[in-house]
Amino acid sequence: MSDLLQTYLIARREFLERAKSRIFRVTIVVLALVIVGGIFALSFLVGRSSSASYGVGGTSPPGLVADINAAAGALETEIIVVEYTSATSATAAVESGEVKAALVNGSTIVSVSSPSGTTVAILSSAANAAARRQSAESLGLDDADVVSIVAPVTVTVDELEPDDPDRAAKGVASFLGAVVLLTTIMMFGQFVAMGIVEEKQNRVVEVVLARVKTTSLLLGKVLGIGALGLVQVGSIAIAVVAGLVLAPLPDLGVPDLTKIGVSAMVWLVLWFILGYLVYSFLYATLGATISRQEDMQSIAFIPAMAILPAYFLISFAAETGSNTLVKIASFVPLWSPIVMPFRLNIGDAQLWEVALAIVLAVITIIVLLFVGARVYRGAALRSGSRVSLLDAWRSGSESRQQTTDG
Amino acid sequence: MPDGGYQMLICWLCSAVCSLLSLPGMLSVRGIAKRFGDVTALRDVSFDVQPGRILGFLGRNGAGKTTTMRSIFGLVEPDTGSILYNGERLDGGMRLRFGYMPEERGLYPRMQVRGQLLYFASLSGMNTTDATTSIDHWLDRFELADRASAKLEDLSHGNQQRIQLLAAVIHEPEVLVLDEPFSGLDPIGVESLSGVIREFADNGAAILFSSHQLDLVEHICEDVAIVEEGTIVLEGELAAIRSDAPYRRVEIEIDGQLWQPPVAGVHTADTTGRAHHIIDASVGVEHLLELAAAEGTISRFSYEAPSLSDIFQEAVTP
Repeated sequence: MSDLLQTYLIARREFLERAKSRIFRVTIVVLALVIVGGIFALSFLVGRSSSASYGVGGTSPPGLVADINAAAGALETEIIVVEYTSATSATAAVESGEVKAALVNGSTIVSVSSPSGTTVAILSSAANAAARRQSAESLGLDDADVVSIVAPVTVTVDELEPDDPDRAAKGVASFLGAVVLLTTIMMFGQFVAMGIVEEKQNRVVEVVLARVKTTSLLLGKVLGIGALGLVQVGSIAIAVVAGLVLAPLPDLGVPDLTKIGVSAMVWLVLWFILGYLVYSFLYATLGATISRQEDMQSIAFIPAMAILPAYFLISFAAETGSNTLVKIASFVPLWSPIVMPFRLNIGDAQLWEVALAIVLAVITIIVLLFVGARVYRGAALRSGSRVSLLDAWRSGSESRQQTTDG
Repeated sequence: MPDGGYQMLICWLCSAVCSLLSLPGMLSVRGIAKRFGDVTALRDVSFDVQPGRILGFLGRNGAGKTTTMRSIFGLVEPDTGSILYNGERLDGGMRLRFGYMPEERGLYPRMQVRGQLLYFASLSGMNTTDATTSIDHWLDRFELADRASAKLEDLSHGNQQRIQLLAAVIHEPEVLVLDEPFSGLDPIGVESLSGVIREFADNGAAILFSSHQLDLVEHICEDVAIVEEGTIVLEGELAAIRSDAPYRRVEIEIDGQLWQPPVAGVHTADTTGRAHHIIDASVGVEHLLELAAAEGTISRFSYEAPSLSDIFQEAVTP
């Protein structure tokens, strides 16, 4: 009977007993449906609001609508121009939100509040062009000649470091991904602590430990509950990919949204595994020191505090973009499982950085496994009030090798 | 070769054969000591549990019984001393052939009875087929076959106790260690549990159990070991310990009156709840009978070696 086989048996029990729970199954299905539904809803919303509409009304110079379209085209903006019979009806359309802004009487921009720079640029340059053409005609000049005098050069912009036009969207999506990671890691980590406390509280731990090593029990528990977490996260990832494949996505100019989604989900699963292992061993170590569910609160806040900086960092970075602090945090094993996939998703991380963060996380996991097993060994049979970590660490020091290797 | 040499050789051969055939063997606790911080739990604990025999492990609360039992299962690591099975240092593999029922009872409340027993049997290395056969046998035996798929928490207290015992014996262990197995059992439960313990011993298992119910221990055990403040103060075959005691309890009535035998060192006692006399064990029954018969008509005559309760009291009283 190998330790490995026992570890598997323990993991299997943890997984199957929990997977039987109806709440777990319902959660998975509901979450998947919400995600697919959400992607469908978003794709319709984004599709509709992608082009702005402008109104034209009152006495306008001829060809104004064509000029507006041409000006928008020059700025690579998709618009719709709606013509109104009078200045009043155009103004009313702006008020009702039917159109974003209106060009009234060929020279006034009507807008509910301060119009955007793009709106002003499009409408004013169209108004000028139309008025210029009209003046040139009345003076008997060729419009092209006039243009060569009033606007002899076309100024172009050459961006050395062009802004990612989808930065905001990527930030929001990456933030959502990080929140999913954070909640699942903490949820399943807490399950590990609860499982350990439960076994201590109903004393079954002594029956189990008479048969298996503490390390096997700890590892089996963490892996079994982790497999359950993987089912949860995996179903989220599959739902996201399914949503991206099935929903009628608008063309946002992104090469292949589905491909990006799939790679993000692969990272999500990988970082869940790493993050879960870091936090589950942390939760296990702390859980071993208490023996009543009522005392859970006295330890559960510690991992929560530990992960909080990662949350704050990414919620700022989601708006303002990455910074040095975020970069540093993406290597710290307590935070990297949240921050590194975030950086990956906003397109800020190099591959070597990811590899380094993974290596650091794996080392931490191994250290935490040994710390956890030792503390667990020192505290597993101690019931009653909370055992101090140091005390448990000391009592766990006696190596059982002496008799187990025999 | 001197005699000792032959003995050692025979011992070694026996243990070698036993371990080769995986026959039940002898569990030997050898001078184990354990400190928890400033508290000394065990000073020097040594005893043997023989295959096919039942050893009653006695001691006051806190004397070190549970710590000793936990040491056998590696739940506590002794600071010094060793625990041997068939003369070999105990390891995790050997322990899987042991069964343990801790004093603090506990199983998984929301797990089904059969699934739970199957889990513990497989952790002990039993394959599913053998485990299923064993589970069916034992559930039948305790008339619990119809509750096999019930959750443990839905069983009555008595039945939960039975499942707890089954968790310890389901893999048919060679060594059975039971910490206070009788506490909280009704007389029927005590009877059925002692039957199971006897059966395992008859099949060759070495059995160690602790109890405060001395009359029960006297009834079931062949051997006893008494621990006091972490030290074994008395160990051996119960019958021999009793007959080796230096005194006897006598209660002789002549013509309905308690009579004090005229022998050296006699004194009265009433620790058993009845007034009687204590005399030196060297005074024979026949001699006492003769003396009494000469005195008058004997209406009552009892001559007894001290009970386990007496022996225990004396062993643990400084």
